[in-house]
This record gives sequence, structure tokens and C-alpha cells, in this order.
Amino acid sequence: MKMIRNFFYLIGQGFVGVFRNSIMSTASVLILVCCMLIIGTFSLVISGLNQSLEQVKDLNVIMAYISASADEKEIADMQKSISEYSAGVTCVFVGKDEALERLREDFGDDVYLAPYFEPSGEEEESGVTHATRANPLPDSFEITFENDVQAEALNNFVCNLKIEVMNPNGVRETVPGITDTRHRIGLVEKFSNARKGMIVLAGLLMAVLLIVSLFVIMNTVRLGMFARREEIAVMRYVGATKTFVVMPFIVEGIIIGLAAAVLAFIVQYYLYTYVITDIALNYGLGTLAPFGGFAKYIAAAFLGVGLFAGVIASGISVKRYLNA
Amino acid sequence: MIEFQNVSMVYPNGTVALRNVNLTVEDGEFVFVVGHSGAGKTTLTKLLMCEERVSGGRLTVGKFKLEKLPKRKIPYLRRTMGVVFQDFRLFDNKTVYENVAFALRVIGERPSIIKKKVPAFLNLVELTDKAECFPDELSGGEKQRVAFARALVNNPEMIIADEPTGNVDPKMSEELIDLLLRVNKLGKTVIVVTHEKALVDHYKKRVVTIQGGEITSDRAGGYEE
Repeated sequence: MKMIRNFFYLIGQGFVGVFRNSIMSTASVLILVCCMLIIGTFSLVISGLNQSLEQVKDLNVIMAYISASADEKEIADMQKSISEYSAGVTCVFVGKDEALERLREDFGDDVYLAPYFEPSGEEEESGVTHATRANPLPDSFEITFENDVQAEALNNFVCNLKIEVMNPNGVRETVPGITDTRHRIGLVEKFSNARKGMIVLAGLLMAVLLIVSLFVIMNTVRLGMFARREEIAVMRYVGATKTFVVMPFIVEGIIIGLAAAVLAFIVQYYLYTYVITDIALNYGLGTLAPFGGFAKYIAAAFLGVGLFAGVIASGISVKRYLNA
Repeated sequence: MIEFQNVSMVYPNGTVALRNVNLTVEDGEFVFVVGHSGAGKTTLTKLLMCEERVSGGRLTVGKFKLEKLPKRKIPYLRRTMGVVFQDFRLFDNKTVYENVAFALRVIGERPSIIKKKVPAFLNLVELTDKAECFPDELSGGEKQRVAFARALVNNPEMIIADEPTGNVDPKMSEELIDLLLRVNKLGKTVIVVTHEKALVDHYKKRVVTIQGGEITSDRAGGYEE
């Protein structure tokens, strides 16, 4: 009962402290809001970039074209080697006929591919005839990999796969099993680098602003303690415990942190919904996901940062003041 | 009981405030501690409140051995004593009632108890009609009586008054000491630090004289120059 009574009294004293130093409290809240908005905006943009990355088809795919000299056993051996390269790698054999079919599906009527297929019943009825030509496409492997796989190393590994063939002199010799590869590893790296760069930039800005916020809150709390130094002295003379003396100032820090989190969340909502989304659309980054999908993460991050900054700053301030 | 055994106190800058002080104050005693400025009187009270720590010797206050008292137990030591200062140390933004109630609030006392105790102690110091006044509406003597009420309201075992009459007129000084005598008659130990010779001589109580950090006299009666 006594603890509950003290708890509410100390919470009340925390609010009194915030309003007593209203100018410094407001400054602390605004600096923290800026810090949180930078964290929030960068996080949202990075999430948007990730989504854009996922929308680009076949980014994590290497098409490896198999040498015409490879027999079935060698193809199966190469497929096994590639599949066992790393945990995130899968390797599917795509026969030349399937490749041609895919080509027709992808290009439709844009490319005239009819000569490479057997005449359909419809064509025969219409009297259009043509000689069926040999499929020029090679057999291939469709290799998919997860983002954490070293794409460049995998590509090198695939390119270096060997098979044995009989040369015209009747001597067996080793030749490349894969004649060529096609991939978008460069694009993956560009996206990945852009994302890493933004994370580093966001991290640096966040660290700087967080430190500034900590100092501002520390000063706010210290000013509060200085203004109440006589009260603190009397509290100690009449037997107040250290917890009782410092709690209002910790509560003050927490209130500043929470107020900043709530304000930053509201501003972030409007900033994302009405500004960032528009900018992304205008610069061709596509339609960003609605704020609702990120809301709980942003709220949790803001609350975390707010509480962390509030508690740490006021804690340091109180400790330094009482030890002085 | 308060017991100083060969207590010395040296400040970090090397100033020797007390040297080899031996002093015993029994429960329920009334003691004046006198001496010139810088003699070590205030250091003595600071040691009793554990605001400063002894540099050597042993100091016992009731069940607390102050030379090795952990910091976390200091508040509980201070709850056994009421302290009154020359400069009153009241909160200007709190009423008389709130100033007295504050001492109960910081130890987590129930509101119903606070409502009973505060008027009773304001009545004791004859300030019932000033309960809603702020300190700047009171005279020096009235402010000191508020400070007395605040010191007494926690029902401490002892009262330490550091120059309590320094900011009040002679008549009010006597009234304040009379108040302390009444408290003393209730069984509380009272230690009054002062340098007012006339006041000390008037009451004929035990007088401990400190000079240069040492006790030079400890006797009943008056101020010894």
C-alpha cells in the first residue's frame, strides 16, 4: 500500500517537474522527435527499397548454359555439385524444349518462333506451312540462391565446372561444362550497397541525434534538480530514501521520452502517408506499402528509443548530481 | 544514546574539524553545544546526521554505528532525528501545512495519518491559524516554528537544532527554546548548537564547549569562555 502511494506521488512529482521546466522539456521532446523521425524515415525507406528489390523478377537467379558435349550423367553430376554448393542454393535443370516454351511464353507474338515448333492443327487448316527448324537453345540450369549466399563466388564456381570429352584425335580432354551464365548479380549488389549505405547513414545520424538528445534531457533534468536542490536537501534530512529523491527525475525523463515517441509517431504517419509516398511515386520507386503495415514496428522503436533516452539521460544526470 | 569515542574529522582539503572527541549524550538529555565560528559545532551535527563521515574513532547514534553505516541505511538513521536549521529551509512554494506534511509524505505516511498529525503539530507550535499561509507571509519566529513542527512530526527520538535562534529576536529565541524544553520533557533527546551566551546561561542545562575541534568543557550551567 505504501509503495503504491509512493508510486503515484512520485509519478505526480515527475509531471510537476516537466511542467516546471516547460521550455527545456519542450526542447528535449523536439530534439528526440527529430531523432525518431530520422530513424523512422530511414527505416521506412529501407523497407520500401527491400520491397522494390523483391518486385524485380529473377534477381537471385543464375542461368547457366550447359555445354552441348555434356552427357546425361555429367549434367546430373554438375546439378548435384551446384545444389550442394551452399544451403541456400537450388539448381533446376531446364531442357532446351522447356527453354523454348518459356521464350514463347515471355515474348508471345513479339518474336516469330513458329518455325521452331511442330505445326499446330490450326496452322495446318489455314494453309500456312513452314519447315520445322532445330531448336537452337542449349540445355541450362536455373540456379536460385538466397541473399546471404556469395553470388559472385557461386557464379565462378558454376563457370569452372568441367566435363570430359573425346577430341578428334581420340584423346579425352577436360573442357568447361558450362558455356555461359546470365545473372543480375551486379544489380543485387547495387541494391544491397544502397541499402547498406542508407543503414550506415541512418545509424550515424541516429547516433549523433541520440547523443544530442541525451545531453538535452540530461540538462533538462539537471536544471530541474538544481531548481529543487533545497527541496532535495530537505528530503534527505527528513529521511527520504535515494529512490524517493531520484524517482521524480527519472519519471520526468520517461515522460519526455514517451511524449516524444507519441508526437514522432503522429508526425511520422503524416510524413510517410502524404510526403514520402508521393516522393517515391514521383521518382519511380513505385507505390510504397501503407503505413499500417509498419505502424507497430515504428511505435515499438519510438517507444524503445524514447524510454531508453529518457531513463538513461535522467539516470546519468541524477547520479552525477547526487554524487557532486 | 549518542556516543563519540575518539572521533576525528578531517575534510578532504586537510582541515581538521574535530580531533579525538569523546562525548556521551544519554537518551532524553538536553545539551547545548557552544563554541565560536569554525570551532567544529556544525561538523559535529553533520556527523550525527551522517552528512559527513568520521575520519577516525567510533560514533554511535542509538542502534546505528555511523563509522560503518552503509549509505542505503542513512535515510533510516535520519528518520530517528528531527533537524532544525538557522535558515529554516522551508519550501517557499508550499503552504505551512504542506511544509509540515512533506516530512511525512517522504516516508510514505498514509494520507489519513498526515491529516491527523499535521494539525496536531501545528497546534503544538501555535500556528494553526497560519496553516494555509506561505513562508514569505510569516515572521522569522513563525518560520522557525514551522521548521520545528516539521522536525517533530515524524516523532523522532532526538532533535538537532543548528543555530535555531540565529534569525529570530531574543524573545522569540526564548520561546523556541521553551518549545524544545517541552519536547525534551516528552523524552526526546535535544541537541542545540548555538553561540548565544545569554540564552545558554539562562537555561542552566548541560553545555558542551568546542574550541579548535576539541571539547574543552562539558558541564551543567552556563557558557564558559
